[in-house]
Amino acid sequence: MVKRRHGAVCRPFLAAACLLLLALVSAPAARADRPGAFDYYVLSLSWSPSYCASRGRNADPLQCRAAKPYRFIVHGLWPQYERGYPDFCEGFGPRDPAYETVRDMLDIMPSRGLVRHQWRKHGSCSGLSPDRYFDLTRKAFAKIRIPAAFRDIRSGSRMDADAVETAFRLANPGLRDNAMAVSCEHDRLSEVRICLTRDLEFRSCRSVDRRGCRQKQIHVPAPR
Amino acid sequence: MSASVRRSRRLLVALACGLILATGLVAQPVKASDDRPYFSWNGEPRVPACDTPAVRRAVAGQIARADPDYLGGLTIEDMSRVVETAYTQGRPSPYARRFCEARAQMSDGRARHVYYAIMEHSGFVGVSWNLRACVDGLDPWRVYDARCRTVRP
Repeated sequence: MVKRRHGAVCRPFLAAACLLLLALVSAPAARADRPGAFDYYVLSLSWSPSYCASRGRNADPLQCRAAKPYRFIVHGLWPQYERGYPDFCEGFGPRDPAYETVRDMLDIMPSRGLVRHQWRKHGSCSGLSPDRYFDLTRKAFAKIRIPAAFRDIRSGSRMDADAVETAFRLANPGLRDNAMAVSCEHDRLSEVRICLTRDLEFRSCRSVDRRGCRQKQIHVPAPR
Repeated sequence: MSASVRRSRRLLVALACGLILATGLVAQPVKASDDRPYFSWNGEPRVPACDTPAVRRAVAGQIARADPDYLGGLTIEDMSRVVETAYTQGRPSPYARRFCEARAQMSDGRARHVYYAIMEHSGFVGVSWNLRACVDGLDPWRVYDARCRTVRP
């Protein structure tokens, strides 16, 4: 009886000690993300038909109801550290990009919510103004040649995740397998991520490459 | 049976056939008219997509035809970054409308934003589609309300 009461008293102390320990351990890891202080960029391209299929009726109508369906769109240009990445660098620059800035990105990022979110989460850490950041995003996207197979795919198909990488590698001289990652979600191709230096040259990136799709075969839904 | 009787019977049959055909044709679109005008036979797509050549020509043509007093004689030389922002039908009008935007390279060397709405049955006597285009910042008379409101979704 006494022993049990003793245990009950101890437990909150133990929990508090654990919390303190956790805080101490994580404090040095939580570095302050300073905008502009990062190592390289990841350009993330999203396969729009997969997004539209997985979100169904909740998908952004601008992206998923257009008469001419989108294929690869820009998800974002993400500043990266060699390990990890900065995000939500608040207090630097405006909270939202200007209406005109968002409007001018809609042809390659067809969702206003997406453009605003990318600015808040990633663009704010780039150390650039919203206009410059989105200009750079457009430049990075223009640098990538989308393989012909994805530009005129008409019907859905199953594909090796490696084949997607190969297709991008062949279409883009200088791009290597260790400089990109194919990611999948619910068995579908969701994104292709490509690592670029701050001057938008291809570069290898182990931490991004490792987080790629673990499945061998993935489904590539057709633009409807 | 005499020839005249036979002829009149044939005429009657032809008339009946014609009547049935005519009512069938008229009744057909009425049946399928949940979100379309009762007279409309338009198939999908009911209005062309935003970046079809015909639409691009129509946008440039409409701006080029504007009175020089209104736009200062500016014309659109090229259109890029075409985006469809909305498609509506039966909200509340049964006419289908497609709303589009693009970046327009204009004859004074500047790029501006152009909004346009493609509307079903708004051509000559309502036969074909037509569109209204408004260049952002170039509507001094507010023909399309402030910031081209009436041609935006």
